[in-house]
Amino acid sequence: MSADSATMGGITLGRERGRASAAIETFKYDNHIVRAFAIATVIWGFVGTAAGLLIACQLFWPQLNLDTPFATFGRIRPLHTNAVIFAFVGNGMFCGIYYSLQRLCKARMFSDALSWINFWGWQAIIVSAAITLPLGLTTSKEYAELEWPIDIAIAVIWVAFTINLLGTIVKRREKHMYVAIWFYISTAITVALLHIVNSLEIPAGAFKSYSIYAGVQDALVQWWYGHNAVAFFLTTPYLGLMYYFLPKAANRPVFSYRLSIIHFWGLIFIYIWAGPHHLLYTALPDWAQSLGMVFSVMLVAPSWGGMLNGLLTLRGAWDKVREEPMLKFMVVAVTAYGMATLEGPTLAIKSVNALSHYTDWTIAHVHTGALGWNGFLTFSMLYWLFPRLYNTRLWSTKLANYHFWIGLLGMMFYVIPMYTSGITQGLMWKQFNKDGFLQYPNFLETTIRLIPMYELRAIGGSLYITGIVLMMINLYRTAKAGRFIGDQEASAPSLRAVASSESPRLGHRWLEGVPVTFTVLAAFAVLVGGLIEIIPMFLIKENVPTIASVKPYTPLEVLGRDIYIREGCVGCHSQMIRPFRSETERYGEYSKVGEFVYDHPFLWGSKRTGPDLHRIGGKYPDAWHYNHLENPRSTSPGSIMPNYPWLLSQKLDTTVVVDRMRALRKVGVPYTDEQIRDSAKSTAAQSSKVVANLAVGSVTNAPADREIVAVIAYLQRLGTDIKAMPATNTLASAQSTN
Amino acid sequence: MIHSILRHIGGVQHFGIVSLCLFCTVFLGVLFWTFIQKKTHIEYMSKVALDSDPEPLQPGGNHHE
Repeated sequence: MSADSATMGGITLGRERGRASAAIETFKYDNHIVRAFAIATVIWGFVGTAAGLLIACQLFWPQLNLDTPFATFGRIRPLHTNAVIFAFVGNGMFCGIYYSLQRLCKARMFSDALSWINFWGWQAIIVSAAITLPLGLTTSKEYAELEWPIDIAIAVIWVAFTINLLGTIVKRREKHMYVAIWFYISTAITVALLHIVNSLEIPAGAFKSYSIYAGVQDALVQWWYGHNAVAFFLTTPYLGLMYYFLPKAANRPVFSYRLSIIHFWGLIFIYIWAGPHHLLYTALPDWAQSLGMVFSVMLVAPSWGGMLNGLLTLRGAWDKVREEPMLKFMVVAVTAYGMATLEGPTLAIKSVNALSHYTDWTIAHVHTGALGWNGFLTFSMLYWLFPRLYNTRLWSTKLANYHFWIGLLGMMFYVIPMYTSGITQGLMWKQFNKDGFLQYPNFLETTIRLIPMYELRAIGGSLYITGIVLMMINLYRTAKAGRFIGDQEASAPSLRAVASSESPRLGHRWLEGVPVTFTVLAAFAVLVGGLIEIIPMFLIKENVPTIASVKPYTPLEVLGRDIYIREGCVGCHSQMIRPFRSETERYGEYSKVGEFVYDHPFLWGSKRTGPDLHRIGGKYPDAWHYNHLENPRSTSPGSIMPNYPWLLSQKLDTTVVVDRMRALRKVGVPYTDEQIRDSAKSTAAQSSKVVANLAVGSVTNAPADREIVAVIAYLQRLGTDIKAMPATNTLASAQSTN
Repeated sequence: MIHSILRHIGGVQHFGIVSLCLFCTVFLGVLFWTFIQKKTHIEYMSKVALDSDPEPLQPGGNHHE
């Protein structure tokens, strides 16, 4: 407070920055909520990365699946991704927003109650995910696996956060909204929109639902969501944090505020269009693929604008980088952001994607972002925050430096083997010998070749986690050494006083002073791309040429498909054969868009740790599948797939099939009343056929009422409908797809 | 309505060009808008984070180094 001020019952009269006399108000920042989110970030960061290390080890040591359903790769992988994205980064994001927003607005949060609803609600959602995912309760849609009751909870908690965010902005004492706040606003609006649109589903039980979209439409909505979850959950809030914490740490103003305006509007406008690059060369119509590719390439410009703005903010302060571990983490985080945002558009170019898609290259790419950008920026923020929250110095700068170097080494050991693995994998899949046959016709050869890379990756993950443990010790000792300041006193002139001292302006300056208009414009910017891409996919019939021979799944196949979803098979097996000779030689005829019209949800997958399964139907006898699922190494020596012994022992629950068929009928699958009524009879008849086939293959003791029977029925159905088409129809369909 | 719009612009194949034009318009608009800002305002805004909370650190007693 300035020396020439006079206080009158908490309201102070004084001068601020040379403005006319203004009422100075005193208030308190809420650090309790910041501390709660900070502690949650640290804990979930450890849990999420530890789950990642477990599944990384399972890929070269399948016995670590422990032959129990709850610890298998397919169920733990979504737990890892959800824990890292929503628990670690989510809590980190809230922590940084709750700290910086109050300071940038010069106001306490709008409502303490909403802050704590946000905190405890979010932790409850994370715990529900940690319970339901290992139980196999999943929608199977990547990063949106949680079932419908949890989806509703997410929407409610997100609304609480958004109200709190916007309420704080409205009651602020700073006339203009700083760039960090724009990124927070765009995050709040877009995540709500993405979550609601992608989670539209019809319940078929307490923790079972079917997406209202099918096949290609589901794929487009899912990757519109998936890509923009990366954009608006992992990127925009963290860019806001970068724009706040980097200038603070470097004690330098942001390099170019003009560039930050262009960065913001360019980024949020373009990002939303780029989703289809996850579906290149799939059955998605060409126009949507091209649109996704072009906008992805354009995305380099705003992304690098932001990265350069961050790095150049350090101009004249590079000497501090040598001294301050917090700045070291920040520099690597911003550099990783630059690398990931150059690599992303590169991978979105169709010819590059032809090699990289479904391989570990994608895994390397996302971990450059997750470990480098999100992880290191979070660590940087925590090292900066704890001493300030506890009004002391960091317990050990040396230990933080050790964390930095061990974490960086861990990242290198993670991503370099994964790049090597991805390129090796892609090239081996496509390699033909001089006689024109596949050089590696057995998919397993390509998997076994990668095992040393998987081992190195696990070393990288272990190092990264060791760094997190060092940070936990350091932050704990820092907290012990200091005294927590729960309510931090501050003062600032009221907004009315600040506003009245300024003449009205046009341009962005005006927009920075009107949060509601700003929010509407930001919402419009993110909506345009989504609407232009998604609406035609639903309205234009030519996008999904129908195939007369494609029929809905039988009741037993529906149950088998649900088990396939429960076990997370989609995490390792795609169901989408791209129109390349290397794929049609290996798997069979390429996948047509019309084959997926009854797939709620779509199961195209995004990674091939195992082979594609779209044409697996009829390729092997039923007994082969039985033996393979019981112990994959009995039929495929050297396989890294987990055993699924419980499928042989667990009784198939047929009581749910009627509800499930009814739910599927609601989303458009044309089941008749008769088919639903006779589902039990149909299930029994088809099960008996499977058992008879098993007996032919020397599996004589298989009861007809076990889960494996349904899984075999589903696998044997995959990709077979199109074989029933007359040859002329096949040609016509192929032409229409091309 | 959507069907008639799509017919009018020649079908979804032209979405790429339409989208690019839309983006260029928005981008140029933002560019123009940015450069009409007063320099004093830009300088003020670039320091907002720095001025938001000085928070001097108190030297603690029990440190590792």
